Amino acid sequence: MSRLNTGTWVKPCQRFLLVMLGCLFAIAGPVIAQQADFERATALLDKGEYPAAIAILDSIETAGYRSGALYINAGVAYSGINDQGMAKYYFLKAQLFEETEDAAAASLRYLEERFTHRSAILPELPWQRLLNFLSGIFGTNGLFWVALLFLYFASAGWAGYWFLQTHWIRYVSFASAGVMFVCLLLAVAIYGQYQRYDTGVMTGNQADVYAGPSRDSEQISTAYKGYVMQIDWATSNDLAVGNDLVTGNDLATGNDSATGLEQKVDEELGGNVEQGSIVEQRGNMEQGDHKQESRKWAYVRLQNGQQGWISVEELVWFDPLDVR
Amino acid sequence: MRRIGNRTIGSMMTASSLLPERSMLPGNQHRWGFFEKSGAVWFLVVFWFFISGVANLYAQSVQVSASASASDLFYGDSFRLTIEVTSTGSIEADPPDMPDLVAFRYQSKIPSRGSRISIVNGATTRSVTFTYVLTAIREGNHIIPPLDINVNNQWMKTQPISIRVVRQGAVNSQGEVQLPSIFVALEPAVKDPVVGQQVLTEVVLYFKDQIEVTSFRPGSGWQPDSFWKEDLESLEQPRAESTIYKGQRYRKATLLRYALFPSLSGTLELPPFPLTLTIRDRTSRNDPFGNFFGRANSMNMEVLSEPVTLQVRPMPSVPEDAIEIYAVGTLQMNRSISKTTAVVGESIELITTIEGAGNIPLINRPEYAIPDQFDMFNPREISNLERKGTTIQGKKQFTEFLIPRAPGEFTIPAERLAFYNPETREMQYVTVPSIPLTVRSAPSLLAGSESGSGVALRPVRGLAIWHYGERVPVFRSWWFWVLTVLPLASLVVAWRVRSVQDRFQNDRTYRRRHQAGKKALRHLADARAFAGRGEGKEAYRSIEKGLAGYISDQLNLPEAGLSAEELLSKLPELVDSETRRALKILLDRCTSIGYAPPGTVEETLSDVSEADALLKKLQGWLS
Repeated sequence: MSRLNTGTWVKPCQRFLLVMLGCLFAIAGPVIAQQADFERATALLDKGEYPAAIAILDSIETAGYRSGALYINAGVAYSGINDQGMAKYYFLKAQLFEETEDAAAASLRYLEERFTHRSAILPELPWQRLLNFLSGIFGTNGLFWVALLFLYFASAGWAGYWFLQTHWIRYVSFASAGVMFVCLLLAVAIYGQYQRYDTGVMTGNQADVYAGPSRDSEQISTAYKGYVMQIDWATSNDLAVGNDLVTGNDLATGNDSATGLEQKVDEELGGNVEQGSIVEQRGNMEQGDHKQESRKWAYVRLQNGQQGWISVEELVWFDPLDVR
Repeated sequence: MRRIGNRTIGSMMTASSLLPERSMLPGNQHRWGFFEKSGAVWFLVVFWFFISGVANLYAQSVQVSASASASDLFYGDSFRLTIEVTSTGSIEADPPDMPDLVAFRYQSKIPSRGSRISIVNGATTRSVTFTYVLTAIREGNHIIPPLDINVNNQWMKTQPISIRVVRQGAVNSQGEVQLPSIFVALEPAVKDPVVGQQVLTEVVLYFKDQIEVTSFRPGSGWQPDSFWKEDLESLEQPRAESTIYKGQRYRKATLLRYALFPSLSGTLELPPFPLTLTIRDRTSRNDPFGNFFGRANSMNMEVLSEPVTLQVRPMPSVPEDAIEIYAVGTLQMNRSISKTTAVVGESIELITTIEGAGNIPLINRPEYAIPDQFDMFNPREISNLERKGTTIQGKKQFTEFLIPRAPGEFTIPAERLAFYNPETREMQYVTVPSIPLTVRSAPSLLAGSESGSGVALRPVRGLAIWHYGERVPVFRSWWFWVLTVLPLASLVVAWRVRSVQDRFQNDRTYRRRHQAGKKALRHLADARAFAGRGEGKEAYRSIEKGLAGYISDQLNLPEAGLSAEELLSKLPELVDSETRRALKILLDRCTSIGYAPPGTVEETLSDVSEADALLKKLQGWLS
């Protein structure tokens, strides 16, 4: 009984608790920190200090965190400084999160009324609608998991048929293999689509859409602030100037680094941030003239169905697969 | 039908079809046939010369002439140019190729064509006429050159025609002012306008008393270069009034009015104005036979006004603090705004209204200095013009859409708008006052929608759901591929097991080989047990079953009936001689033990152990 000395028990318990708390803080510490930053940005939004709020939200995203609430508040902040194009960009991103889907949709409806031009919106192509529907339900990873699950079913069924010689098991195995292949194909198709296409939003007041990647080409249409378009990086990189140096992923990554809450407050103005004094850093054009030229044009499909080339200087874009 | 030789010749047979028949005639008839043929040729030759001669005679009588309906013309007068081909025979003639004439303008290069046949004292004369209508467009003495015309495949020339064109009001050698009995004139109200000034231009018809004008039609496509032309509403019924023009009495009627706005400075010309008239000459009514024979009937004519030159002055310069909008006229200007208080992002309309008489359609949009915090979108222009009377009046509205990008107090500064007043002949300025604007900050934006959507932009509060790190597709992780390969590997194992099972059931040799080791060990275990219990014979029988059975199972030999020598002879050469010898000794002992007393327990156990050792060796060679 002398071994039941409390001191001998308390020390290991204390150590265990300390280790557990350490682990907890190691995991939750950053989360708690960025939640605190998020609430600080929300308070600034309430006060109408939008540029400061944007700076904080930007730092959160730069740290690698994503959240529907983050994007909603970023959209509200940009709307506050009347950058409706950027506001729409963030509301569209927020719409990809289940918890903020409705709020983002309502905000987009509100925002649409403030644009000077609204594009005619053609329905999505059937195959796109199917892929988006499946992507919304399962996601690419979900489809891969489902495919894997049915691979197990198919393997087990076939092995069972070998040993039990029961035909219905064989049929179940065939069906499972079919489902697996369909899921696998859909997952690859969705992944390929998202790799190839990004969603772009027009942030400049207006930009012309040309038949080729040059201002000398025939003008097809005009995109105005807030226009949403699908950017086809595969075609862009095949045909635009100097594309051997840049891939779609490079572009997307480069853009993300430049446009993910990419506007920075112009602190050179004495640090005294004035509303509307946001300097936009778009297009990540600093990597040499040749590369810069290659990044100037993107092949897009507007919502009104017209397709052509547009200067990326007036665009921001995101990959829905990366956001979700 | 008649018969020649043995052939039947129908009444419709041709001459050529008769020739073979003639060659069948006797010799004298042959010669006569030659003369007959020569005579026909001579007849044809003579007939051809006769026809040619007659044709030449006819050709010699063709005559071509050209004539003009008038040789002295006023500028803008029209006349008929007639080319006539006369012949006593037939006439095949195409219209002549008409040259381009500097002093005259064709009303149409397709002539009216007429033909006539007259018979006088039994002589028939045919004539064909081609008539062109031309208008004189340059004064001076001009010659219409000889015209080439193809008649009966022969080229012929007309004689040249001299025509004199004089300006209206020119004085002739007798000192008389020369004026036509009817002419049209362009009469601009101002001869020295400034750029953009409205110039009322009337189309006036002058005609003598004896001429009755029944209708008129302006020529199409009159458009003076470097002028913006606006049609003023037509006069209901032109009224003719008496007037003295250059000392001669005329009747004058204003037919049309245009408002012309010069767009360039310098010497500009109003081109001749074409007019098609239907007139009647009253003097012919005194002729008692005139109406009877139709000479006093209506006739159409085209007249052309003389060109008019204007000296257009440039607009006076505008000082830098004023906005030039190129307005000319008597105008009023004001500026208004749709709202003076707005929220960020809300559209504000800045409206500039200019109204009065002047060049309303040509006024430019005033470009105001708008604060940088405002975006401007697609200005809209609305013009409302009245073309009644002698001036263009109306209102023009420029609407600019301003969208504030930031909250604050702003002022759209006052501006001076410049315009030229043709009445005072100087620039005038209208000051539009400054407009204060209050743009509410975004909190009001967040409070709710002002555009009626009923939806507010509200930030999300509280604990957010966070996602961290880059989204990596699941197939890029190694464990996904491990999990994918696992069922496939399991499937391979299952297939292997299943195939072994199948062979076990169906292949006896395989089954014997597969089970040989286990059977032998079982027998040896039995042997050890028998040996332990002192049952030596049973033990040796089990040893024999174990070893002999193992060899026969492995080598697919009959399970019984083989002697030790036969078994050993089937062993492969790999098995060494020592093992063979040991096997033979042991198997012989097993065979002979049935006829001899068994050894001790230890000896038996020793043999079992040796059998174990031999079995292991055999497994090394046979399995």
